[in-house]
Amino acid sequence: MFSLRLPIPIENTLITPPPKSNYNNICNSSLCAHSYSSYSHSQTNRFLTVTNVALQKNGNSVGDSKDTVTHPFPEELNAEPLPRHVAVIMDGNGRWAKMRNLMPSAGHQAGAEALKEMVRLCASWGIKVLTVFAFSTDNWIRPKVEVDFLMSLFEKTINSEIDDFNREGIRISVIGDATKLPSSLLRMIKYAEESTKENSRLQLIVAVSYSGKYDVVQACKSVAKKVKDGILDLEEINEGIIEQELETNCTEFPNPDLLIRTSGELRVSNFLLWQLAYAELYFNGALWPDFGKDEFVEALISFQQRKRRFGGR
Amino acid sequence: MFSLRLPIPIENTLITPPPKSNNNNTYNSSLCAHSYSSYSHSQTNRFLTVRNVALQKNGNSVGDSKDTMMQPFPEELNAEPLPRHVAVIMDGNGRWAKMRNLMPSAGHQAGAEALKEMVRLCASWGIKVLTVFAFSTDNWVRPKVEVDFLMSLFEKTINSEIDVFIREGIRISVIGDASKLPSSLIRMIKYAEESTKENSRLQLIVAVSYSGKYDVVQACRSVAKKVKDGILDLEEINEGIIEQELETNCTEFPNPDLLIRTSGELRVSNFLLWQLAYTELYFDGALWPDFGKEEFVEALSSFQQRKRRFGGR
Repeated sequence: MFSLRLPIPIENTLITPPPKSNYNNICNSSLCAHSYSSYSHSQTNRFLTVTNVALQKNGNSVGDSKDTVTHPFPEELNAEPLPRHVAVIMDGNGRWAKMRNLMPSAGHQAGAEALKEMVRLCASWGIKVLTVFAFSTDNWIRPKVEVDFLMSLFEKTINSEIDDFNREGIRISVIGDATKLPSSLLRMIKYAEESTKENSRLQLIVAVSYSGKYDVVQACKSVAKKVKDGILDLEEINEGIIEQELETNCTEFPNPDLLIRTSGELRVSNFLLWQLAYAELYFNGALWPDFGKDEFVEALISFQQRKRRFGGR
Repeated sequence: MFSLRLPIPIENTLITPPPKSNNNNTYNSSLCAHSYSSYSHSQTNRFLTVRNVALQKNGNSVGDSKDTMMQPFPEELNAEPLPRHVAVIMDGNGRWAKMRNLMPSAGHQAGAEALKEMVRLCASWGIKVLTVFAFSTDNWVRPKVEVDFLMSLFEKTINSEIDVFIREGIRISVIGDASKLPSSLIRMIKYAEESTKENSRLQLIVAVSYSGKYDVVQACRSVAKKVKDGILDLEEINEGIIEQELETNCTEFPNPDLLIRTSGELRVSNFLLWQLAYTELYFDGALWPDFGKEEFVEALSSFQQRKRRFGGR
């Protein structure tokens, strides 16, 4: 009845929430312990949002919204199935800005806010991996002004979120071709990955200068090198070998169960290609900065109605 | 005005159709000549369908529908853009049969008829490549009765269509892991590929015992072997090198512009993965045996409204 992997909707329990304990201990506990930790954390935070005083013990200001990051599990959703890994093509920032007579940079800024909200929702509702397509290898052709702004935005956003991530048990990983990134961004990425690597509540994978084809090419190069060096035989090359070399090897769950693309385009645009083999696809007309909790709930409802057969009957 | 690559809608011309000439010469002519050949053939066949007597010269029975294969270009569509390569996940045969209290085999039989119609439509309207997902590596788990029936159906259908293909300028290629196929089917495939290899009006690629992951794995093995044998350097491995090894190297246009999936599921189910990077996706609720001309026109109409940016603005 109670899925061990998901935060339990408060409405379904009669258990009194335990006293609030140190967030870092709860969120940094091992993967095996995450279920009860997530449950107690979500219970605790619901009480935090409702009665901002009684359980506040760690000295942060009561009005600080970063302490009340947990969103209650939506009533419209069943406890399961929930996608373990959600991927998002965050499309529409440019159009969002254009509609408001703003520069693309304003759209990307708004998009960053939508991403922060998405991270909080995923962490709240027990999704284990969230992979987002921040910048494609194909996006380097965009105007330099826009590209430079994006690189700077990535750096600023990662920097401003590291503390929250550590507090909320969120691990950040970045995949993509690092060779083209500014060195200050590279340093920020390394620092963020190192700081958050023990966190286990949610893994946020940000794809920057990434593409599905790039990923397959680099995996193939790695495999070819192992064969050349005599570490691997040709006959041993199979799906598992390729998967180990793809950049999604940074996570235990490399294949998205659900891919969301915003702004109405129906294509995958060279995002994860191998990894999307059996992903349920969900397309939403909303522009990315406008994609929020309601839209995400709709996507999850759609996912819950899918019949997944994986080739069988 | 007149796109050289497409049959011209009859309604837009004042040219009297030329006398019907030998079909084999018309259809096996080179790629460069196909436009006029297609035009004259579509004109001719429209008259054939309307007045079945006057132009009938080659001795086939008037009622033989195979002589009237050409379908006029739909009025609802613009002359361009048209997808050069259309891919189809032919889903829904099983459900179609179940709804009628029939065995899955009846659904697959009906699906074969829908495929024949799809081939005719593509050939008529100037689409150059049609790739269909007939059987996945993941489908081997289906009940043996069903799998055996499908293997037999593939063999019979290829056999019965070879003459039509030769007459209509259709080239057939089969991609997938041949090692699991019955030897009689393999022989039929080889014969069909050999017989039709000079045809250039439409290339029909049938994916049997295929999957996108299988394709990448075998490409990676080929590349690794070339590196091991000293034919290729590691540093030379790039997207182009991988593409040359994928099984879609049997065609000049390996990447679908449009993917159609029938029966309402929203996923790509391990079909072409690499090749779908920039494909426009179209999902139709119709079950595959019910997918006909009207549904295809809707799909093409949808394609014509897409804004393709390939990563740029």
